[in-house]
Amino acid sequence: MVRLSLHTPKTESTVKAATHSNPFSVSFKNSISPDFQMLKKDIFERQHVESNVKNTSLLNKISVISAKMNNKFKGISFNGVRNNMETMSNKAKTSFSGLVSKISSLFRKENKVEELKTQPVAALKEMLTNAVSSRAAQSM
Amino acid sequence: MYKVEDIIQALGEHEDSTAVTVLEEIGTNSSDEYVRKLTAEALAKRNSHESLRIILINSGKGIHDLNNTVSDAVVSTLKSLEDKEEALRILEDTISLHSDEMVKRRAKEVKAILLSLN
Repeated sequence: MVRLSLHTPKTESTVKAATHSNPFSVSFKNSISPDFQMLKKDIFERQHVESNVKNTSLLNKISVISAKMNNKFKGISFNGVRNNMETMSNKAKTSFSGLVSKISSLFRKENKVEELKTQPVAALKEMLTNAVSSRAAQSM
Repeated sequence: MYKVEDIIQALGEHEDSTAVTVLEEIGTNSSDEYVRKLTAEALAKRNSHESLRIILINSGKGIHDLNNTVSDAVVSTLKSLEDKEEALRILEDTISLHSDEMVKRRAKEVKAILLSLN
């Protein structure tokens, strides 16, 4: 099992969002950015996020983004960044929101794929046929 | 409507093995190179005997696709597999048993690439 962790042992105050129960168990209660709200919704609606995400490619992507967050906001806690968004430079704000947004989007994609995997293959075959035809029609 | 990317990924990860047949039938035979690329990558990621056979031994498919974007993407996905044993086994069989020299040559190249990573 790959465990997501934004925590690096070097700096206690580094962006961190991983605990034993949930890899993103940071409190988003007072989120001020729509991105955070979205992330909260996506993550907390997935009750079994850690046990259900078997897609290692998704986990790897999130790890890469997490590492970027660590590098960009070294020495500042996740809550610190969130609570001080208003005082942050626009560049830093955009960067942080962008990274959060990317993680959020990965979760949304994962949700869609998980939903599709519950469909019978025959239904997916029809969907794929239609999607391919639609692409062909658009390119004409 | 779902995106073609999500449908192909779902089929690639589907627990029903007949999903592989659908990917072969619709995806690998598509005239759309993007669909062929996504399909071949999904089959490589599935990393089962049936899915790998499609992209490793069939002329014009997977690593043998005439479009470099498609064939390179498959090789890249194969390189990223943690367990490459099945892929290497099929490539070895292809090299020794396939009747098409072009297919044999490409299989040899890809096998060398995968072995160079070990």
